Amino acid sequence: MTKKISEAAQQAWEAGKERADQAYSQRRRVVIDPITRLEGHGKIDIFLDDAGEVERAYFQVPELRGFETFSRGRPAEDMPQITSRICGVCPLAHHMASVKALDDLYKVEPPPAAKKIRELDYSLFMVEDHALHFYFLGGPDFVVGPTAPKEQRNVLGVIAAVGIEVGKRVIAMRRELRDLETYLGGKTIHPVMGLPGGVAKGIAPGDLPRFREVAARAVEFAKFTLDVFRKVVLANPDYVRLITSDAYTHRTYYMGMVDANNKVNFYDGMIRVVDPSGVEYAKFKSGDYLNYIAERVEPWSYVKFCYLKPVGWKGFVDGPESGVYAVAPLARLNASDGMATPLAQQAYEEFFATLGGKPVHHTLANHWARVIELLYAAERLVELTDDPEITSTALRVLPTKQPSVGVGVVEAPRGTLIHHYETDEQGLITRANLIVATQNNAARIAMSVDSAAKGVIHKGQVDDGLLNMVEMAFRAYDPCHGCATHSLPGEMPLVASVYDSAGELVRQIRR
Amino acid sequence: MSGKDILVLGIGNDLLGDDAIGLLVAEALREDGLSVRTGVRSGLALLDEVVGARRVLLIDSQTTGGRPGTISEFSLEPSVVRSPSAHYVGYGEALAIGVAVGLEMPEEIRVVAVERTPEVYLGADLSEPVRAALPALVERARNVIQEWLC
Repeated sequence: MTKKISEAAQQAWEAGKERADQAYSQRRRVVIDPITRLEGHGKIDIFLDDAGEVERAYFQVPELRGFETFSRGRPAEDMPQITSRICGVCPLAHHMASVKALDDLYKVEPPPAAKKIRELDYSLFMVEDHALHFYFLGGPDFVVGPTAPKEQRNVLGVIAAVGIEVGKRVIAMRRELRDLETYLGGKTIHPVMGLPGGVAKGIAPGDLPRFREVAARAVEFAKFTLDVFRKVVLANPDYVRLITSDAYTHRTYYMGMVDANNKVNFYDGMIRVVDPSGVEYAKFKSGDYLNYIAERVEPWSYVKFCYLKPVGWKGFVDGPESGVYAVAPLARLNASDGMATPLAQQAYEEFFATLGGKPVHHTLANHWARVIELLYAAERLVELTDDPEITSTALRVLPTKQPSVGVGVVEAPRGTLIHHYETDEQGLITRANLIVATQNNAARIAMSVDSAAKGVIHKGQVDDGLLNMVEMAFRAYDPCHGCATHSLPGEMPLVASVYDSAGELVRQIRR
Repeated sequence: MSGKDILVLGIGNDLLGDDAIGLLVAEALREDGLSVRTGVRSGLALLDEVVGARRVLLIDSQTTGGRPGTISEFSLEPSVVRSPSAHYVGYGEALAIGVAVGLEMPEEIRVVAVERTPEVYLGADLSEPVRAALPALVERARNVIQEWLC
């Protein structure tokens, strides 16, 4: 049973946020509306010492704040629709975490078929999202090769490297997956399928063959993608060197959701944490997350940094004494004992054998881990569409209990996503807390950016290559800034400011 | 060219202040009996909407650092300027992908965009300068469609 956040804790939090806002606005000379303001670009502030070496680099992505305030007083059952609209990238992850929080809030257990439908929809989404990331988003950093000329390191370079037919195949696969997500979700983007205690719609037996065909094609597609990864990436010694380089390596804790056998699961299970040597540190139910995860604010960032509460905050450092942890594909593989499907399990074993055993601490290995997860999600689609219960019409158990507190957790493509709601007896939200994957990863992302900057800036020399190195560091985590980029040009501008030891701005690079 | 070859596409999120403007203009044009769609997803999702249409009028907000409420009009071209995030591809990149893999792309995607306030707010209201620009924005969009229909 989750305890409500105490008034005192809430007040301490508000006060901390207030202090952070004030400190930030003094340093930046900008006025910050303490509720919901953010700037729509990523910022990197680099401070040099007397010798022109990097003393510290700070990085922040825009962060949407004020959600907790915004949702107060709204009916809890609106949350799956509201939260899925926070973000134009992973609405289904928010929808699913939110619906699971409602199950918990109303203490209602959905029928087995409803859970399977949810997981089926979620697996479709994971295949889609991971495939896009591999080929089009993360791909330019490694499919094209880290040493390729800058003008080729883009999505067209990826298509040239893997071939147009592959590009066509990715687009076609995505279309099929999306159509099925639309079928189950009611709408493509903002699903309306999830309800407390079940789902709104099932699969008609006549439509099942189509689901099975797409599932089979998804497995073939995933196997093929793993081959592409082996041929294009693993065969490139430059890339393998880069993966294992110090600038992209941090020995932190790892967190991910696991099933009863400690195998990776995206939709449901316990949350497992392993320490930097790979030993299980904690395993807990979603509702107990507050005992393990704490958040802190830093004066230079809007982002709340998460850390492991029992270990404590020791600053932006790695190692077993520091509570910094990571989420996302690599963390999920590290935090589990394997994959629940046969082909993904083989790929998992190959991954750890190649990279020197568990856990793997190389940030850029996230890209490989993502492909292994893609294969798992595809195999899971086959299992679920072959399940005799998948066309069942027992899809809902009506909630009857009085609501109070609910927590729902899923593994979003980018890592662990937590929704926590508290309501009055009418089911109106009195408090909401969302921890998104990027917050879980924020401390480690900051560390990666800091070490990337230290690796490329010396004696005050800063060139434009800096942004590439820094961007590669955080792109591997696929951080979310979904709320800042609906506007044209549809890209998050990035501004790097370099300050000398006197605090004077000496260089600003914009991208 | 007839009306059925034209797609009006409003992009935005009505929970994010000025970001909603594209949706509001699209709704106004829906009353003109045009084929109108609205979208909240960025990046590659653009392809889902525009493939198969001959001409697309895209209405959105933009952040170029200009004065909020300023309206601009331009044609969207494929480009491969990278976003620093892996989370998205920009519009230009999405089009470049569509062209590269041989999808049936529109002859033209014309953009009518309004400069928004640089801050992003969670909330369902427009800033004063953007609200004031709404009628002119609808007018501008209608002009583009008239030009195509002639």
